[in-house]
Amino acid sequence: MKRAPNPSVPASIDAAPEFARGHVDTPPSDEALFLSRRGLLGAMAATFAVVGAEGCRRPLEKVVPYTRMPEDVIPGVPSHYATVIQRRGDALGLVVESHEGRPTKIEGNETHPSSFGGADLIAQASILELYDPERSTIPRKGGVAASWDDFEKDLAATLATFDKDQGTRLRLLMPPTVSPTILRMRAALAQRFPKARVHTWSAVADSNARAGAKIAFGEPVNTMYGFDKAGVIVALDSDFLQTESGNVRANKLFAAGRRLRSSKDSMSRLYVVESARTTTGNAADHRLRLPASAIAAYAFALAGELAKNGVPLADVQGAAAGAATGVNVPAKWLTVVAKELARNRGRALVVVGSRQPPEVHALAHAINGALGAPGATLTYASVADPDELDVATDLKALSDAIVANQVEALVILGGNPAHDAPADLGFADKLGKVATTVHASLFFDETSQKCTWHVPRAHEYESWGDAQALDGTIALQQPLIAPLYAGRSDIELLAAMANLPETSGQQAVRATTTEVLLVAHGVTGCSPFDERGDSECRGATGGPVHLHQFELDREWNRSLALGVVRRPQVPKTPTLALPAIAAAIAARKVPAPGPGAFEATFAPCAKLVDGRYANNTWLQELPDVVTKLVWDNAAILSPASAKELGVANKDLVKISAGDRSITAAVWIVPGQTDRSVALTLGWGRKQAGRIGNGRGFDVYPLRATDTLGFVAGVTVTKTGDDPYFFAQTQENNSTEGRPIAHEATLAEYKQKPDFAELDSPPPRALPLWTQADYSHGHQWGMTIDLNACTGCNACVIACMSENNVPVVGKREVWRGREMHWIRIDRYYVERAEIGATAEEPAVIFEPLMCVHCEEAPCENVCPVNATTHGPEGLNEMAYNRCIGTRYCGNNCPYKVRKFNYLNWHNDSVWKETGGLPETMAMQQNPNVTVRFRGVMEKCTYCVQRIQSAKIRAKRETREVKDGEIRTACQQTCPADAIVFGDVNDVTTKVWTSTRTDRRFGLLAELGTRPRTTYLGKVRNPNSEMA
Amino acid sequence: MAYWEPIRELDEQPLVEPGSKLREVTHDIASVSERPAPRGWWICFLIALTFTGIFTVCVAYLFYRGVGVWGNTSPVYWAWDITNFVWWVGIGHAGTLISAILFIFRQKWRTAINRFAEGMTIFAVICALIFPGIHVGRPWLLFYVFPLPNQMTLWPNFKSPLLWDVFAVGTYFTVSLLFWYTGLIPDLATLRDRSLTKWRQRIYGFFALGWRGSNRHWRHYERAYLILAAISTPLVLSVHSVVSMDFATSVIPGWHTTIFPPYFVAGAIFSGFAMVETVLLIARSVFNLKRVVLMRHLELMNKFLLLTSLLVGYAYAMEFFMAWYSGNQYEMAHFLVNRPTGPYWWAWVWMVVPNCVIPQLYWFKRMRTSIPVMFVVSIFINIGMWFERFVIIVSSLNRDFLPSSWGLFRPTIIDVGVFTGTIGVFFTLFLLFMRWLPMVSMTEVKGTMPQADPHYSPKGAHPEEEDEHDPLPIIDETPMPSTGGLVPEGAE
Amino acid sequence: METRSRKPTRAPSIILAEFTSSHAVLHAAEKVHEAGYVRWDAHTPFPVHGMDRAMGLKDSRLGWIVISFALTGLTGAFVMMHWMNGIDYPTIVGDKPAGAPGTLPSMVPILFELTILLSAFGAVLGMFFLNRLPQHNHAVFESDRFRLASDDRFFISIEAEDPKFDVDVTRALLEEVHAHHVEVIEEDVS
Repeated sequence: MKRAPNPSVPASIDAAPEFARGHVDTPPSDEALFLSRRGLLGAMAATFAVVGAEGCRRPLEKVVPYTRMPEDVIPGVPSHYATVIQRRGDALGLVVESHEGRPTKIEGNETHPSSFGGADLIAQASILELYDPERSTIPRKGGVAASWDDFEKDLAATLATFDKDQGTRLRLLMPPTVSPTILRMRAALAQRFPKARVHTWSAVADSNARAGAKIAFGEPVNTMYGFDKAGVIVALDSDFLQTESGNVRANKLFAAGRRLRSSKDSMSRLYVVESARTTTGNAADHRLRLPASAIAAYAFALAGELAKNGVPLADVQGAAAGAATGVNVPAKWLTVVAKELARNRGRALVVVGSRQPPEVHALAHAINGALGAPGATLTYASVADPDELDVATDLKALSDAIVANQVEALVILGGNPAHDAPADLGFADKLGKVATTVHASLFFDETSQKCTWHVPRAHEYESWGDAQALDGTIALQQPLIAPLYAGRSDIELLAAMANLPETSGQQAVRATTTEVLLVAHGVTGCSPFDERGDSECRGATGGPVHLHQFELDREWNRSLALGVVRRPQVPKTPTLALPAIAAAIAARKVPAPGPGAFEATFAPCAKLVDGRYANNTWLQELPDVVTKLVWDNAAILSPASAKELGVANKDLVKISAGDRSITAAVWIVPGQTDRSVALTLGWGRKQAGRIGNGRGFDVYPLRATDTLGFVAGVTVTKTGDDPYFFAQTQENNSTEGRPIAHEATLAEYKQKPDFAELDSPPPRALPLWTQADYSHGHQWGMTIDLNACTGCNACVIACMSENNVPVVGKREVWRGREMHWIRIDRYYVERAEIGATAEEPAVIFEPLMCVHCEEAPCENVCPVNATTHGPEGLNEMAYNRCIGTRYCGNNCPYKVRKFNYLNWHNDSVWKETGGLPETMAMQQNPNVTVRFRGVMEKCTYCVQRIQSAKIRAKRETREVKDGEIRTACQQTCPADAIVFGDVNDVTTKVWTSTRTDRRFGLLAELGTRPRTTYLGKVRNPNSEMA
Repeated sequence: MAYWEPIRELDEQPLVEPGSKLREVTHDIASVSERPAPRGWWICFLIALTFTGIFTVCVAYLFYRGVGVWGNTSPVYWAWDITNFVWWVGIGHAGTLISAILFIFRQKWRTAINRFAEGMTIFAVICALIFPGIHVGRPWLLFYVFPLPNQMTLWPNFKSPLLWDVFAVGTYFTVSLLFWYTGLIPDLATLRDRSLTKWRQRIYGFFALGWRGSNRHWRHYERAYLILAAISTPLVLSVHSVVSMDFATSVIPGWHTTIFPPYFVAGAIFSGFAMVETVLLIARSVFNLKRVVLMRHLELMNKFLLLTSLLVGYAYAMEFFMAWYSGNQYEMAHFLVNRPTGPYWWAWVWMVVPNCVIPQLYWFKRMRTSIPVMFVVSIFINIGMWFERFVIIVSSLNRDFLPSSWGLFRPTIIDVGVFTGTIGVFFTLFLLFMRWLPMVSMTEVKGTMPQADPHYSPKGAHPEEEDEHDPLPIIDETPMPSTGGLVPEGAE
Repeated sequence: METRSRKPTRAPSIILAEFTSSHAVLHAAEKVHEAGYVRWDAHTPFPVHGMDRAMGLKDSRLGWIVISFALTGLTGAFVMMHWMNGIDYPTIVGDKPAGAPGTLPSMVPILFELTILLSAFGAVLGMFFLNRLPQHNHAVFESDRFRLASDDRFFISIEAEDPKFDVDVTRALLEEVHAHHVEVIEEDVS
């Protein structure tokens, strides 16, 4: 591992006095603590840098620990820092656990409105991306290694040539951003080069939603859905629980709206209309499969139906009726749904997926408005970058400019357009036509190859930044580690291009924050601070205001500590322009469908998004939510379509739209729309790295500027080649009628609250022997609410990252040797009561990790006493005692024990590179043993967290508080499905939860007395739909 | 009724061809190790040795990378490894059974085959013991299973059936070895006394412990042998019962079955006899032992095979019945659906047909007495019994309670190499045994011959005369050193 | 047994009579026994029926040795299991009791096996002990013909230590019981 660069030593040391000053004039408030700690941290950083302790890479600037950091940092006691990462159109506030300067684990930030303490699988896995050994480490010119100095000189020289014509021939290309600082930098750049243009492109963006809002309100706004307040939710092609913007927040609120504490509670009802199975569709109470290209028509028809039910849509109605052509859905899906929406005025919500055309979004705004949703079940907030254009048209403009030979230099910050640009642009080749192309990226990827210059980009956890969440909250991004590979952040690069004085990211971000704060408080026209740190400004009322440097320091520190910048939020209440919407609908033009009978839909991969995470082993090995496939994507077909095409699973098919075509392997999923083939983006990378190269099938060649979401009229033909090789983590989809995943409808639940327990009661037999006494002290237990679980997979990655769970690779997964301590069992359900048939089964998810049986079958059979029970009810593994007879695994009825058949860390995916890269070892949790080959392992209830909490409590001479110990899966779960705690203490959440009437023990009839129990799933179907 | 006369109730026939002399028996059996090995032996030995080589290579690779080189997976944590273990242990049962139980029941016909059977037991159990040793994830820590003080001050878990196994199979191996060796002592003395070279004499002499056929010794010796037989009888029955408890005490449908102990014992004897027959037939033809191993013996064994085959078949049927009768959905799903129609249905067929159907041939005397038939059938039974263990272990594990965890086991080339390798090891040891040790107990055979009876005297001829024309064939004229002593005269 | 001295003088140590059939040796044994010899023995390639009676030997005491070994095995097994799992390092395993009496059912197999194991050792070692084996040098081995004792010949040996031993008398006795061949083995005595 590389050491922190020397400059960090002085940087860190001279940090101290600067703080001391702040410290002096600080009144003894809790900010004072922050300040003093900052000094301390700086000093620490210095010492660490000096002794050069292994794995210690303190950031150059001072960062402030989140929550209570110990007065004296003890090695081994992790500290936590708040930060934020940009997500498409949104920002996700995070808290990062750091061990002696090594960030090791990601958690959600409770104070951040997009997280509420939860995180999703991508956030959890992003920590591995930071340590990816195949990230780009050096600038390259034409693919040849160069130095940063060369680059700076070269860039400066190039830019200098543009000064005279104000940068007419300079273009900048970057993904849409929500970072105020980056936007400020872009503005600054525009000052230097007024005629230079910034284009934005990302393969996955919310352009349609923005356009829709523009139509409806005349300006782009973010819509904040209050799923918790809604009684009826209609989702049109929207996977708001997994792949849409703000999914973590949506998950939290959605779960809240369906939480059942007793059979007296009520829950929301979700209607989903979608083409391919998604996490949201799996959570639906009623799901209608409809080609994505037909969903718009359905929406228009629904609008018409609503009007019939007394929901006035003025002239929108007429337009909608006109546009609602060829709607072929069960009548109930219009009449009943419309009636229910109308009936639930003020409690209803219509959500539209980002790939649906703008008119549909606009229509949804109209419907929501008419249903009285604004203020009740949704609010609006202003977007970070009002000037952002539709990404497709914007990129098209750029490529046209290149063709027209108007671009002499193109700077690409992030993104990978050469790989994921619409196929009709042929963007990759056009890059060659530009004299100077610069690509700053984490990896030397497909685009970097095509550019004259490639420079390594700093990771979000390595650099300063800020990001604005959907609701307008601004959060600060702190570097948690000095750049591992000498990368630079977009901010630094932009600052350099714009010739800004503030070269360091911190200065830039701090300046932005100050500006934001001053604006928020209406303070303007400040005089420069004098040496005593005083400044005179004008207040909101125009009167003079005295401002002291320290006040800004305090606010800055608080913002860093909390992770969000506190400022008064002005609620946005845009006014609907119904005529505009009507006009847009009337004027809508649908791209002419091709000759083929099929439709192809493009969805961002829940794991790799647009392919940016392709080199992430955790994500590659994470089972797909629906198909449970790993290391691959597939062309999803419905059983009927498969029969029609005469293809079976693994068969290769050629999918062609016009003259463009791809080949992909088929996977059949019941519930997929007939004659619609679902394709996920981000696979089939050629230049992703050793892990990601050539995994799955690249579907970008099928995607054109006007068909980013879906393309109608494609032809699908069987190639007849040998079947493809897929690996799955779950090969059987049915419960085989076994009482293992209990569910009921809300009505049934109200009649029979203990339906779950009744189906599989524990044995009513007296024990033959005196049993262990679990009535004293802590007794750990867990409940998992199947009603809340959406099967989003966040917990699986959280567990891998917390417990150093190894990755085994595709072939070993095929053998059945995956090591995930949690697996999310997915069963297809056929039940007449909920209209679930073999063609359109419902889905129930059952997360399963070691349930810590009190009468554990595994313990009885271990010949060497390697797995025994702790006094606190934990089923414990003594790794160094285990000799690997695997008898425990055989005798585990849940099959949750995982065996290290090989030395997975070194003898699987990283074998060719001679074992697990050192950088990736840096990610591993020092409090958890890394298991060697030949050892059995399993979920430990995060025993390391239990122990450290107990130690902390002991040191502070108090009892462990409820909620103080949270297992990794529980902490990250966006749906709060998992509750962990002391089942021996009547005051705990888990105690209450274990007394819930829906509770059942999995396979309890075997008498294993599991400590992890489940709460049965409850569906809320509408009887009128039956 | 005289001692040597056949027992009419059992409609016995003479065990040794009438008129054979004691010395002929000695010569037939002992000279095998004195004559140069026949070509047939060399061919077999080289083949066996090749497979032993394969075994060594595979195990070396296994140790180098880990048990992952096998096909074992989750949920099938045990597969061929334990299948082979149980199979070999089962085979190891016939030996002691024949020597012990038949000895107690005074089944004199056992004398022809008991040495074989015992040798087979030893070698089969060695092959069996290999698997628990190499199948664990960390073989270098195998000693944790023994109650030895260690740095963790932790002791084995005596509740674990696997630990019962360690003791049961360990005991079985030790006792069988003692039993075998005790039986060998007088014969080793014979070989010592017949040996023409100093080295043979010293080596055999060393292991013969200076046995001089003293009657005061025979007195204790016979008692010891009787006691060993007496305690081995329950031991034989216990060992496979304990092995079966590895499965019977677990919770997995297909394993959690009370019928297992007797079922496994019956199966063990079944497979054991089959393997004895296979090996015996080979040896009989390679070393022309028709004088001692008579068709009579083979036919008796075939009757025994028919009996045990019926027992095993009963057990299979009973499993089905109980699954249905219990009404337990997991049991029914396993026995009634997964086994006959699941992904391993073919293994199930391979279990039922060779074990229950084919042996029914032995209802017919022509089949019972046809060497080719019995050779083929014995091979089939060996295969069938291997598949029985495969079905019990793999097809029970591959589909247990939660359908989400169901998975297939797919063997690797290393699996095959190790298994066939142990067969090589077995035959290597066995061929060495046949070559260098008396493969039929001379003492016991002589003991069952008419001359053994003090009241016997051949009519007509006077005993003294018969050997006047019969100079000792094997003693040359050169004076031999004192035969008992390891140190020849004048060495000091 | 005898140790060889530096300047040896030869003296008869044992007298060896060879017979060609089991009934001959049995008959001879009876006679020798009647003659009241004590330090003598019969050597046969297999145990000869009724020889014990003929030699007037008592029943073997081996059984007692085996019983004592068996009991040691049984108690040893119990003490080991109870102390290790119940007293020295008790653990909660499958919510079952750590030591006796709760664990007795699970102890049965090992109790049984160790009993058998030690009995077996008792039988074999006991037999060696009673027979004073291994004993590689014995006067009878001096005879070349004795090598047939493990083939098809039967011998009677009378040791010089026997109080009634007298070379000529004893030889005469043996010849008169139709010994096929009689031979006096001399050994060095100091």
